[in-house]
Amino acid sequence: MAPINNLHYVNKILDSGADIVYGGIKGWSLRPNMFEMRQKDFIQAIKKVKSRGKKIFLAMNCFYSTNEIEKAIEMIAKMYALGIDGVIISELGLVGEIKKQFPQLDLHLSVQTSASNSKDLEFYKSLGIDCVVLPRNLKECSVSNINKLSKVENIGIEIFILGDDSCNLDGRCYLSSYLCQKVRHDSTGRDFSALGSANKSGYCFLICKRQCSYFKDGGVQSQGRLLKRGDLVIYKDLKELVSLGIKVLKVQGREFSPFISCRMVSCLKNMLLNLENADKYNKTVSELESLIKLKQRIQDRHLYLLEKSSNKIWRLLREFLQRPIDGLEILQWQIFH
Amino acid sequence: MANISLKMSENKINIKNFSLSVTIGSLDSLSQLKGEYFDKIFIGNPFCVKIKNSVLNSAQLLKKELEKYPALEKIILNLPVSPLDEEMGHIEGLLQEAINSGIRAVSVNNFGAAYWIKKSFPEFKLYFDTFANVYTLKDAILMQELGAKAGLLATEISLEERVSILKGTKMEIITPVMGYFPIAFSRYCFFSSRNQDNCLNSCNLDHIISFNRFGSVKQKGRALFSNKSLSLLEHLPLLLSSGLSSFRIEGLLMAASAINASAEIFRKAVNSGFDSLDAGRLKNIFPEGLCNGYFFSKSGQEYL
Repeated sequence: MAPINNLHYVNKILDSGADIVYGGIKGWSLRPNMFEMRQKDFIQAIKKVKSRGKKIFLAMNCFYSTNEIEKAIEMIAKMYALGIDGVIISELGLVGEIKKQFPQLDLHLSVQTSASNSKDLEFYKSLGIDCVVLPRNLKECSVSNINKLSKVENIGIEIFILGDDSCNLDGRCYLSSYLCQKVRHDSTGRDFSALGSANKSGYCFLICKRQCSYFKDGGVQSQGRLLKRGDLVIYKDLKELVSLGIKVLKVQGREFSPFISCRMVSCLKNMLLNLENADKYNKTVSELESLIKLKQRIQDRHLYLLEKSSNKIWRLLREFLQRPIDGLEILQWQIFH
Repeated sequence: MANISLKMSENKINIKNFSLSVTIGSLDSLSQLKGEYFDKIFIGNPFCVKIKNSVLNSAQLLKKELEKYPALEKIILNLPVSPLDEEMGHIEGLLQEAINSGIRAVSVNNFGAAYWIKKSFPEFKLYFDTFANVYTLKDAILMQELGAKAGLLATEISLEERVSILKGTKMEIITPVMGYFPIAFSRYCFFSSRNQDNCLNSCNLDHIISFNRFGSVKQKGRALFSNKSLSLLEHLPLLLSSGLSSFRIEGLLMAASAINASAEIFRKAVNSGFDSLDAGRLKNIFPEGLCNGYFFSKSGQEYL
């Protein structure tokens, strides 16, 4: 399963080997607006994906307020009529209505629910959830933990095979909105926290990845990106994960350019096809590791610009550079690879 | 010391039917707490079972300490947030000891745990806490169907949303009013990052993690907490007139003496108003400053 963040990207990602794509409509998914698609573009994307016989999921994976639930259902109904295959949700209150109105829809539970143990999975199964995305975390996504979770029958497991190892558990982090949040309503009256709250579809300030200082007894003990974690390196356990029957391997990256996401998907597909061919497998792993290094450089650039962005010029530059741009990243790839 | 300006409520409120609860982490705090101030006592730091002298550290310790406690009907055991399968055995042990000790209520932080308690430990009265992420009325109804009798809504939602959920459910909605509230839960311990199994109890030391111009937080267990204390005392008339009547002091990061003093101020504020003397006492209890949380759709650390 691979992310899409614009219409022109759909064919590229499918050519790279993705079997399912997922994307969000502006204001309704767990990403800032710049990484979501306009509604009319998403509708076009549905047509493109269906014409190629692949699947498309709608990400409705943020937490809504009580008065937004009805609008969220309307949005799902509209996209269902146009042919989406599944929906990714965080809001458990939506489940009953979705199962009742759209029983054919594949229902995936977002990483935001932080499903961590077999009891969680049993509950989600009882609700009628088809598949649960595990938190982006090395402990949850470890082979030993998945081995235990996979024993719960009739519910699929989906994991982020490539992405960040999140410092705080997804859906259980209000750090950004605690420190800086501006709530505003859009033209439809939807109450989305445009700045601050990632959980409610807003812009996460990535506080946990930034420079910070640790003070003890009034003095600075240490400084740096003290809470920042590295990358998920789950692809190293790919063979075991496949043997455990993981239903969906997912690539994080609506915030990356088509170039990066497509190369990552292509690498993973090659690895899956060559599990028994050590030479080809290892060669692909090597390319994937170079891509991960590039991804880290891009993230570092974003963080640097974020930290500078109290200045207006830096902020404009960040707005420009943070948009997924192919050219810049291809150039970096050619320089460093 | 942070500049704290409190708005005084001039009118007396005189509400008789309200309840005040508190959440505490250590067994030391339990023995020093003035029980008469609290209608419910949530015990256990749900963010880490390794902290020394933590209620959730050892089932034997829990039983031993609770044997001495005279008001077990007030006790609600906090269960760990999002436990992994490997931690479930420890939690089952705690629940068994809780039953043996006479505890009859538990608080969960996710829907899966609520489902499990309903099926496997139906004798417990079920509460839910902020990390259960009850954001909407539909979530609250789902939690109610799982047997929950009371709980705290998601931290991020506003007063307006809280009231709309309160009106649509039969459950008791508990509102945090004072203390340091949790803002993130991590799998990793900030202090023992190199050796996650070796707890040095460093989170008990006086510390802050500062994000420069953004502000600061603290860590206790594997959770980040607000560095400023929540204070809704000056908005009590509004809360009470909105129908909220169950309140909680977030005491996981507070000493028992500070919890007792806060409870005293709260009870006085409800019964006879909030004056400048109380404001001064509040400044001493919470030197880092005050905030209003998310109640008025601002950043959690802002103070109106």
